[in-house]
Amino acid sequence: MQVSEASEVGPSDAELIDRWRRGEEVAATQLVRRHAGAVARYLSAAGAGEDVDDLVQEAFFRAFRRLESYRGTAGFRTWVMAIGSNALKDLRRKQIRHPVVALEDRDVVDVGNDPHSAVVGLDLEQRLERAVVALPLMQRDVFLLRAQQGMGYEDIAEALETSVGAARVHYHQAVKRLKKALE
Amino acid sequence: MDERQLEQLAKRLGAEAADGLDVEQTARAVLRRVKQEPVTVRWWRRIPVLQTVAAAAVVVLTVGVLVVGQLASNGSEVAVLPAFTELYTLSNDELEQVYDSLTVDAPVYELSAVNLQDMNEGQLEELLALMEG
Repeated sequence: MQVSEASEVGPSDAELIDRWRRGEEVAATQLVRRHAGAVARYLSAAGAGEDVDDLVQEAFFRAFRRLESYRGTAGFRTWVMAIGSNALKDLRRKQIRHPVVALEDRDVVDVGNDPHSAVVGLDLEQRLERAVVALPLMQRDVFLLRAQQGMGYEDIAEALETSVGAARVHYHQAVKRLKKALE
Repeated sequence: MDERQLEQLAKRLGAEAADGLDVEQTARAVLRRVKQEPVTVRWWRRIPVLQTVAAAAVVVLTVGVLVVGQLASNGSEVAVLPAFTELYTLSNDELEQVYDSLTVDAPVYELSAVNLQDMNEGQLEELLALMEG
């Protein structure tokens, strides 16, 4: 199930990271080209909505700035996604503190505490999307990294700074909730 | 719906967003921002030796605070003495007070066996160093 990032055509992520560290800008561009689409899919499914482009940019920006702390134990793509997830969380907090648009004018789905009742009446994909956004953050991240991105538990655990066992538990809890929401 | 169907459905999520993303523009914007806002490393973090010295200073200060706190909690008047007072500046009475405060948990040194009056400064320093571990 795990996506092998090393199977990409061309230099590996590790090589590109090394070249970027040595000042080759084109290496950073290649990394963005290689992973931006997947990061956009992930963040969109996580509830980024119209902010997805900005958040993809923010995720890569933060990743390149803190590349020194990247140990390479998790895949680069998974790592950027985890950073993107934090950026999304930060953005939502900021929007709550400083709302720019009145809530009633925004296309925000308030799923409350009952994802099931909130998603009835939509098509299956929309219902899943809304139910995923309603998951607790850790469950949402683990579920998307595993089910949508095809990452292994080890990679997920490393990127989200949790244990493999906890990642498995989060995944199964997410699946249980989502199944219930889609019934 | 079983788990496999759920995963298949999940793989379709966000496809529209990925298609709509201008990857080249994103790459350019990221590079521009990285150049405009370079990583700022605090000056002292650039020098490993200074980090070591800073860490050692923190350890020394922490130990000092703990020792003074311990002495204070024993109710000894010695606790109010400055931590870095040189022993040779103390009077015999003060030295005895220091000694008494430290011998609470160190019964090896009995006043009956050792007369502080007979010890020179070097011996006193050695004794205190032993007691302090």
